[in-house]
Amino acid sequence: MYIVPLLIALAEIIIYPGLIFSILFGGIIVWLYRKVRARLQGRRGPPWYQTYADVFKLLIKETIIPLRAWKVGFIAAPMISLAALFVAVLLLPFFGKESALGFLGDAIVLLYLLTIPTFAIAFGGMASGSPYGIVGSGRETSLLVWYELPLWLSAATVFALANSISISGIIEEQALHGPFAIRLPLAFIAFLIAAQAKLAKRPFDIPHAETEIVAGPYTEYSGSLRALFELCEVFKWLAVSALTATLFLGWPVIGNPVADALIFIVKIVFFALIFAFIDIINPRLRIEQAGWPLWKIAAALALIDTIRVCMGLVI
Amino acid sequence: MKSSIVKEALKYFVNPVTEAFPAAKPYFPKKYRGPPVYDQDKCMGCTACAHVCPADAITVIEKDGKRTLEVWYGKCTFCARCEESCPADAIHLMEEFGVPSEDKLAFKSTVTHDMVKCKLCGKPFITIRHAEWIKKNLLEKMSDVVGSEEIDFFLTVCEDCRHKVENIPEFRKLLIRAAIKGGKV
Amino acid sequence: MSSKKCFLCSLAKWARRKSVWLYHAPAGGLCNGCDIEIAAAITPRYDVERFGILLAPSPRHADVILVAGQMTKHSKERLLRVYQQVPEPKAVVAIGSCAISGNVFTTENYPVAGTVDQIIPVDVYVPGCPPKPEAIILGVVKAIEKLEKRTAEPT
Repeated sequence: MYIVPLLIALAEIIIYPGLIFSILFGGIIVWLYRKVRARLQGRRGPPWYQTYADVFKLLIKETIIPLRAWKVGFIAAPMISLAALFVAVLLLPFFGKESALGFLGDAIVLLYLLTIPTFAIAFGGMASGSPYGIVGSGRETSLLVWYELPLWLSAATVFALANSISISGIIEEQALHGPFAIRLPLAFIAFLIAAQAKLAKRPFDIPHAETEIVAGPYTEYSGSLRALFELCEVFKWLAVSALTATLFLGWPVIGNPVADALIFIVKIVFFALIFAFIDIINPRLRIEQAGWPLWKIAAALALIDTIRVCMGLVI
Repeated sequence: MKSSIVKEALKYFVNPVTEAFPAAKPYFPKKYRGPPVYDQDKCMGCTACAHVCPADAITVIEKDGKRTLEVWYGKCTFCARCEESCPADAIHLMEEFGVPSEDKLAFKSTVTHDMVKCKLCGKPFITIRHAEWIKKNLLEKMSDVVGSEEIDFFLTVCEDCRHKVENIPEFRKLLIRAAIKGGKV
Repeated sequence: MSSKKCFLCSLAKWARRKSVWLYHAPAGGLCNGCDIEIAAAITPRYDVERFGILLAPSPRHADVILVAGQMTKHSKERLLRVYQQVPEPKAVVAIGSCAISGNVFTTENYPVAGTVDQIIPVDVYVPGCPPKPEAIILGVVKAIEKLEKRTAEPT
C-alpha cells in the first residue's frame, strides 16, 4: 500500500529531479558556462564531460585536514551546504506546476535554503584555521549582507503580486496573466543582479577571489571535501537559475508534465547563459564597491516596484 | 557596445585562435633559439664553445686519446655565444624545442674527435682536425714568416714539452753553444 | 565484484587523465621568464583548458606542481612545505634550466642552496630558457603518464 508512493518518492529523490538528474544536468550547465567563456575569449573550451572528470578526480584524491582546523566544522561545512542545495532542488517545480515536495510557503523556505550554502562556506573558511580562509569568510559574509536586501525585496514583490507564498501559486498567477519579468521589469533586473552576487560570479566573485587571497574559504580544502564544494557550485548554478525561471518567467505552462519539464529545462539554460554572459564580460569589484550595484541600483529598483505593486499600478 | 566589438567577438566565437598543437607542428618564429646541436662533420674539437659558454654547459672530456664535447641542455641558456664563436660553423641552435624527459641527463648533444699525441711525452693535446686547420690557415696566411717544419713541430709537441727550453730547436742550439763555451760538455 | 572494481578503476584513471590542475611554485631565484611562459600556456593561443588543465589557486587543489627557478636558501623550506601540502597523487615538473641545474647561477653563490631535485623529488624535467609553452604542455602530459604508471602499481 505504501510501496508505490515510496517508490515514486525514491525515484524523485534519486533520479528526477534528484541526484542523478541534477548532477548530470548541472554538469552540463557548468560546462556551458566554461565553453561560452572560452569561445568568447577566442579559444576552444573543455569537452562536455569536463565537470564530471573534475568532480570525480577530486573525490579520489587524498583529503588532508590541516592541524589548526576545527575538524567538526571543517568536515561539516561542505556537507551542510550540499544538503541544503539538494533539498532546494527538490522544492523547484521540475514538473511544470508541481515540484517533488510542494507545500504552502515553500517559496520562502526555498529562499532560506539558498542562504545556507553561503553561511556554510563562510563557516568552513573560518574553521580552516588559515588567514586566507578567515579573510575569504569575512568577504563572503559582507557580500551576503549586500545582496540579501535586493534579493528578498524583489522576491517580496513577486509574492505580493502573485498573492501567494508557494511556488505553485506563483506559477499559476504567471500562467494566467503573463510572466513577472514583463509585469515587474525593475524587480526582474534587481533579482538578476542579486542572483549574480548569490552565485558569487563576476563582478561579485570577491569571496573566492583568485590571485588575491589564494582561494579564499576554499584554500585548505583538498580531496573529497573539495569535490563536495565543486558539487555545491554545480547545484548552485542549477538552483539559482531555476529559481529565477520560477519567479520571473513562469509563463509558458502547458499542463502536460513532460512538455512542462522540457520547457523548464530550456528556461534554466537560458538564465544560466545570462549569468554566464554577465560573468564573462565583467571584471571583479572590490568588496566595498559591491555596495553600489547591489544597494544603490538593485535595491532601489526593487523598492520602486514594491511601491508600484502596493499602489496597484501593475498590469 | 560598438558593432565592431560584437563582430570581432562573434568572429572569434566560431573561429578560435587556438593552435592545433599536439595535432600539428608548433609554430616557430624567425630567429628562434632552440637547443644547440653539433655537426660532427664540421666540428674541429677546438673547445672555443666550451670556453665561451657563460653557464658552463659544454664539458670537455678527454679519454683514451679521444676528445668528447658535450652540451647539456639542463644548464644551457640558449644565448648562442657558442654559435657566434665557433670558427668552423659547426654548432647551430636548432629550430625545435627540447623534449621534456624524466632523466635529466638525457638531453645532450655530443661530438667526438681523435687527438694527436705528443711526440715527446705521449699526452694527447689537440685534435687532428684542429691541427690540420691550424696548419692550413698558417700556410695560407703566414707562409713568408713560418715554414712547414716549424708548424709540424708546434703541432706535434704538446704545450708543456714545447715550453721546456731544451726542446725548442733554436734554444737547443743556443744551449749547446753555451755549454761548449762554459765547459759543461 | 571484480568487474565493478575494474570499472571504478578505469573511471578513476580516466578522470585523473582528463582533469589535471597545476600549481605554479616558484623556487626562489628566477627571472620570471618561465613564469611568463607558464602564463602563456593558458592563453587562448595554446589553450590548455581543452585538455582539462587548469591553474589551481591553492596547492591543496593541485595535481601537478610546476617548479621554476633556482633553489635559494630562503625558499628551501617554503618549497618543501608547499610540496607537502599537495595531496597525493602528485607529480613535480621542473621547468627551465634554472630548476634542472642552476643555469648561469653556479652553485657557489651565496643564496644558492643546491638544485630543486635535492629538496623535492622531481618527475619530469623540461629544458629551455625559457621553454616554449608547447614544451611545458608536453612536460605536463609526461607527468600525467608517469602518475598513471605509479598509481597503477599495487602499493
